[in-house]
Amino acid sequence: MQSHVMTANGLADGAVVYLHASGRWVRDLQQAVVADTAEGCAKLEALAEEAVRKRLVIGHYLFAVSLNESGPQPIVQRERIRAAGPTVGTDLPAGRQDAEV
Amino acid sequence: MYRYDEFDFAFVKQRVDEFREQIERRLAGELTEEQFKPLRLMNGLYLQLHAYMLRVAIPYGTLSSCQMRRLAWIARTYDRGYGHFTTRQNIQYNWPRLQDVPKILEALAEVGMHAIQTSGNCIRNVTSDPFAGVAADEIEDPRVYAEILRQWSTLHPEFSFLPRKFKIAITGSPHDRAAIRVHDIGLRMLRDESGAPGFEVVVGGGQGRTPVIGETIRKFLPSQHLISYLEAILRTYNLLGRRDNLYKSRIKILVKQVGIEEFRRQVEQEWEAIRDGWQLDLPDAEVTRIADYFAPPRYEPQEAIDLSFATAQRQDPAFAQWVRCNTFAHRQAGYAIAVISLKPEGGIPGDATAGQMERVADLADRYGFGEIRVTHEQNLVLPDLRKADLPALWQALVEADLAVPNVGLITDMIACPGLDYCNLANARSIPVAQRIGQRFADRALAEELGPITLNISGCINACGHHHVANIGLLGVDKKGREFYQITLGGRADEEAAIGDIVGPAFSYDEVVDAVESVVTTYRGQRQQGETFLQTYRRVGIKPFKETLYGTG
Amino acid sequence: MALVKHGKIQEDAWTRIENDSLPLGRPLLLTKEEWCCLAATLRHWEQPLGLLLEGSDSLDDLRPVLDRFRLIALNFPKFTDGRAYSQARLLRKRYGYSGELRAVGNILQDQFLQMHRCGFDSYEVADGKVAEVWAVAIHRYRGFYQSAERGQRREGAATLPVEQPAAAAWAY
Ligand code: SF4
Repeated sequence: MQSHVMTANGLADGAVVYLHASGRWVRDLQQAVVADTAEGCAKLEALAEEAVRKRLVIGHYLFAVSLNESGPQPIVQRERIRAAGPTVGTDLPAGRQDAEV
Repeated sequence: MYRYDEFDFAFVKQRVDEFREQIERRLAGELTEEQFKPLRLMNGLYLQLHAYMLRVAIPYGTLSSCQMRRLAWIARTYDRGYGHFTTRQNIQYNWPRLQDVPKILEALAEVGMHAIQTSGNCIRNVTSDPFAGVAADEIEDPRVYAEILRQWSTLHPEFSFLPRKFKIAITGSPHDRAAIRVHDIGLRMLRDESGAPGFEVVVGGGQGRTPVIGETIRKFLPSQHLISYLEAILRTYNLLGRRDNLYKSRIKILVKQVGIEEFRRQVEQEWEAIRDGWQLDLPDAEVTRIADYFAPPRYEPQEAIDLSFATAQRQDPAFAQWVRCNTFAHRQAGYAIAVISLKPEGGIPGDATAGQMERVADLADRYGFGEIRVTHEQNLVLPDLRKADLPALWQALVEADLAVPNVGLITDMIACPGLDYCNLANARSIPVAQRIGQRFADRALAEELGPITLNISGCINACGHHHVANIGLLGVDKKGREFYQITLGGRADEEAAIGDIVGPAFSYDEVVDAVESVVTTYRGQRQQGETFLQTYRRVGIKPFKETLYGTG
Repeated sequence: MALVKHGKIQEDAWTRIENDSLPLGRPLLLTKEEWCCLAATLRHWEQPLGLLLEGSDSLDDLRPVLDRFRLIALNFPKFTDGRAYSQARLLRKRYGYSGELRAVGNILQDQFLQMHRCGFDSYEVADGKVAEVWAVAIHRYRGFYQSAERGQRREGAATLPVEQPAAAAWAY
């Protein structure tokens, strides 16, 4: 089965986050937990719903990734841009690097 | 320009308090996201790809230098040091945090600004001619009625949960710089035979998935009846517009479905019933009160023609080019309107840094009357400049990287945020605009090509107005890859037209070459003195198709 | 379900037709369809009658009989469905209905004020706790920008002298 990662946005700051194996949400896609079975995906879905109930995140969904040595890689452009930020040039001031939610 | 009184200040303050409590209830779990979403949208707060996005209203694109400085301060304090001016004359911040939004709104309220109804299924920020009140060709100043409509539509109890969003545009000039024919309601100010002021009312225009040029529902509406007439349109739409299908819920679909004749009959019937008894229309004294805010500033009478302006143009070709491209005729002798292009080569269309916003505010104070406009083409305007001051102003703009002489030219592109920011996007808009800007970086060439509007939308919602561009690019998704459909021959002015789709879409890598091919074809076909649009109308789409796809 | 009226929880005395039988001795709430079928039967009915209307129900044909009803309940199938606001205004202003106007269905406390301004008097809500916030919601704004059933345009606004912006600099 295609590998998947669970993503969402933080409720309070809106930032892109990914579900980590510990059940916490992290900013870095490379650290995200990857599910490659239906049960694995269901488990991530349940954890994400729990986080929505706890008001940590909103708008969660699973997306397909491929795997290489550095970790999960998005397949579609939208997820590449969510993971790496806008592609419109590098002269933007760096974003706030907030703590994990 | 309009200036808040105590009533207005208290009102926006109360709105900030209300929204702060709604955010607190959301964070405390008393509101679900499903409940909160329509509430936050009604206050301009979206969730985009990377973060929340806050859209701040700039009523009919008019703001003071003081307000501009506050926008800059917010960009620096709560965002990443820049803001994005939009095709609806608003400004968007791309990175605010939910918990900071009440503080941002408080800071806005202090200078008489807000984010009320910049999204949601309600009456949105009214848009208008960015040259209102100063254009040489103007018949009536639309700002008075734009402000009246702003007030009337603000937290309207009946029209806050319409079937879909509702956009009103108003112009007072024969040359339409407000694209009124592609709005839910478009208003064109004119006078009847007796000289009484009124409006041509256009209804059911729009872009998006189903682009429609609006139809005239009333040729002449006496201006004192504006509000009762709009209430009649809105009520008819609120009751009959479709609510079962997001894509069929705009008023344009209702008008198409029942036909303009029947829609007009229903609206007029409703209007007859409410016109006199409901006391909706404003008393003359109130119209005068608002109109007084828009009295012309104290222009210096022109006593002699200042030759330094002409001399400066002769001596400096770069300045002369900027004057040719970026300045426009003012109604007052000795004055000019200057457009500050936010489209530098390779830049992000519509973006301005906090420093640039402050610079523009300073220049508005120094050379104008402290007033700034935002255009739907995502540029800024200094509306009241003495011609004699233009050389010095231009120098200052050059230093701030704000003197690109490309207004109305191919590099003056409109681009929506697209897939770099927007949650609904199929493809990127900004990097395509950046690459096109670099491809046509030769300023002399761009000017030689003449007026060309090139607009880019990242999806069919058409925030980038691609349907009404001479050259329109629409981002589409093909199996996770970005493609762009090209349309030709659209226009947004008084002769508004929807562009024709030229053929199959081009990939992200091919699209800039495709645009260049369109331009090359135009140059090959062009006859002396023709604009792109004139050539296109004369030769049709065929030659463009042939060079783009080959004759086979 | 709780009924909020004037900021207080009130008992809801109204009853509906169930299992094809007309309950006696209590105020009776009818859908438009029921009313159309039963109008003749109910000609001499002495208990108060009410109407429960959907957003798609037309009002024009009810005009001649509106004074038969003591209650009109307008249904909000979703809180984002705003048709009932227009129905309320038409009933009040155009058709002169003066009985009780009730909002039922899916409504948020955040909508109390606009409902109040459109002429609603009572609210059927999922959780009676919101009765406490009703008064706060109604009084949140000191004035409004447009006239409606309740609240006139710029009522109470201080009429401040109009100042022309001074040349070059004007700030708040
Ligand atoms: S056109 Fe589409 S991609 Fe562009 S801003 Fe609008 S919704 Fe987003």
